[in-house]
Amino acid sequence: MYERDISRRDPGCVVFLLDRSDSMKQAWGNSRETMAEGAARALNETLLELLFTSQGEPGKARHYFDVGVFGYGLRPVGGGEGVEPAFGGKLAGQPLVALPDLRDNPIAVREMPSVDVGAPPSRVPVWVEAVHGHRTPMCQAVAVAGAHVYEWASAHPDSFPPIIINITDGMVTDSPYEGAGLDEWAQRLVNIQTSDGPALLFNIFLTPAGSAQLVMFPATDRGLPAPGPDLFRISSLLPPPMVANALSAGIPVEPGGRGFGFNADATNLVRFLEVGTKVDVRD
Amino acid sequence: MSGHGRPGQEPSPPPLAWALLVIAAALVGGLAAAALVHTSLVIAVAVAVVLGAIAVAVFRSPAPERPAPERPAPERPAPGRAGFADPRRQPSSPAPSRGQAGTVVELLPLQTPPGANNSRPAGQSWWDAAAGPPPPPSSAAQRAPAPDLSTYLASTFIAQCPRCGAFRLDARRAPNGWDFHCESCEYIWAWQPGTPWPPVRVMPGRRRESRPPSP
Repeated sequence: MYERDISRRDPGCVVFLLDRSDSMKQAWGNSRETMAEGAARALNETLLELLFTSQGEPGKARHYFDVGVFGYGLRPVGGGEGVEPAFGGKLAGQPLVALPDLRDNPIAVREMPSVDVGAPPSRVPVWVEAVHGHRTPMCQAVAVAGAHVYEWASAHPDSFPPIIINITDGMVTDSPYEGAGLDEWAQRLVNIQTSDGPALLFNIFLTPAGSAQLVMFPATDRGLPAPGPDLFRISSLLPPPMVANALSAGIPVEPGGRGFGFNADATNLVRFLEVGTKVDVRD
Repeated sequence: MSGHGRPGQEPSPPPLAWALLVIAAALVGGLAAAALVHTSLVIAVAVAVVLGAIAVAVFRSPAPERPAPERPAPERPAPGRAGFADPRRQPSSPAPSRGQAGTVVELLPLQTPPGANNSRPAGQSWWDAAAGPPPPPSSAAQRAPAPDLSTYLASTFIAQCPRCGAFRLDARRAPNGWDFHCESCEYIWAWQPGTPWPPVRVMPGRRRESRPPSP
C-alpha cells in the first residue's frame, strides 16, 4: 500500500477541508493575523508548492494532481452556513481542479514581505481567501467532499489514494449529520480506496494560544484535551512515504504515528501540510 | 427573455404563419393574373397554391450554420515568478471580493470522467458504494518501493534539556555541531553528532513555568 508514484497517467488527489467558522477570527498566537488568514495563507503556499513540484518546465504545470478545497462554516458565495468549494474567481464552484487549471486561475497575485531581511517581497498567488462565520459543520464537509473523492477514486483506480487534510480550530457542531457521527463519516471517507490503499484523512487542530504545547504525528491521544482525542481517532496512520517526509523535515514520528497535529501555529501548519502532500512524482 | 429562441436572438413568427403568408400572397398574385389574361379561375388558384408551396419549401430548407461569434481570448498571465500574473495588471474580470454576497455560483454536477469505473447504481450513496472491495491493481501500475524505516529508531533520539529535562528546545547549527537553548530554563549548551548526549536531570523546579496543554 501507498507505493504508487504520482504520474500524469495516474495523478494524485489532494483535498483540503478548511474550517471557516466564526472562531477562526481569533488572533493566531503572537502573529498579527487571524487563524482564518493564517490558514488561508498556509493553504495557498501549499498549493504553490504543489505547482512547483509539478513544474515540468518553467511556467508550466503538469497534471500530477487534482486539488480541491472545501470550506465549511461560512459560505461566502452561497450564503449562510454550510459547505462549498472554496476556490475563488474563475474556479469558483469547482470541487476538484487539475493543477494546470489551478496555475492559470489564481484570484490575485499579492506581494508578501520576505522572511529574509533586505530581500524583495515575494509575489504569491492566491486561490483561497480568508473568511469566517457561523458554526463548524465538519460532518457535512466530509459528506460533501467524500462524494467528489469517491468519484475521483472510481476514475483513477491505480492512483495513489486520495489525501484529505482537515484544518480546524473547533469542535464539530453538526454531529450526527444525516444519522451518522463524525467517526462514522470519517470511516466512510477512508473506505474509499484505490488499488494502492484506502484514502488518507489527516487532521490538524489550530489554537490561538501561542504557548500551547504542540503535538505532531502522535501515536497516542494520551493527555490531549478535547477535541484532540476525537480528531486523533479519525486520523489515518501516517504511511511510510509521509513518515519519511516528516523525518526529512526534522519532525520525529513514533511508530504508529497518525496524520494528526494538535495546537499548531502557522509555521507548523505549513510543515504539517508539506508532510501530508509531498509525494514522489515521475513522468 | 422570450420563451422562444436563444439568448441574443430576436423572436420570429412560427413556420406555419410564414407558409400561410406566402401561399396567400401567391393566391392574390394568381387571381390578379387571371383577371388580366382571362384565364380559368380554377387553374389560376391551382398554380398559385403550387407555386406558394414550392416557395415555402425552398425558404424552409436549413440555412448553413453561422459560426458562433468569436469571444475575445482570455488574457493570459504574464510570466513572472512561477509564471504567475503580474499583480499590477488589471484583471480581465473582477475577482469576487471577500465575503461578496448576492453572487450565485452554480455547483457543477458530479461528472464521471472518461474511463471511470464507476459501478455505483443510481440512488446509492457514495459511502455505501465505497464500502465495497478495493479495485484490483492494474498490471500497468508502477510501484515505488516504500522507504526503509527499520533503522529509523536506532538513528534517532529525543533531545531533552540536560539541566531540567524539558523538551522545548531551540536548535541552531553551529560550526562544530549544534547549539541548543532550552526554552523552559534558558540553559544553553553545545553538542556534536557522534558524541554522547549530556546526562539529563529532570528538574521541573528549574523551569520558569509549567505549560500544560491547552485547548
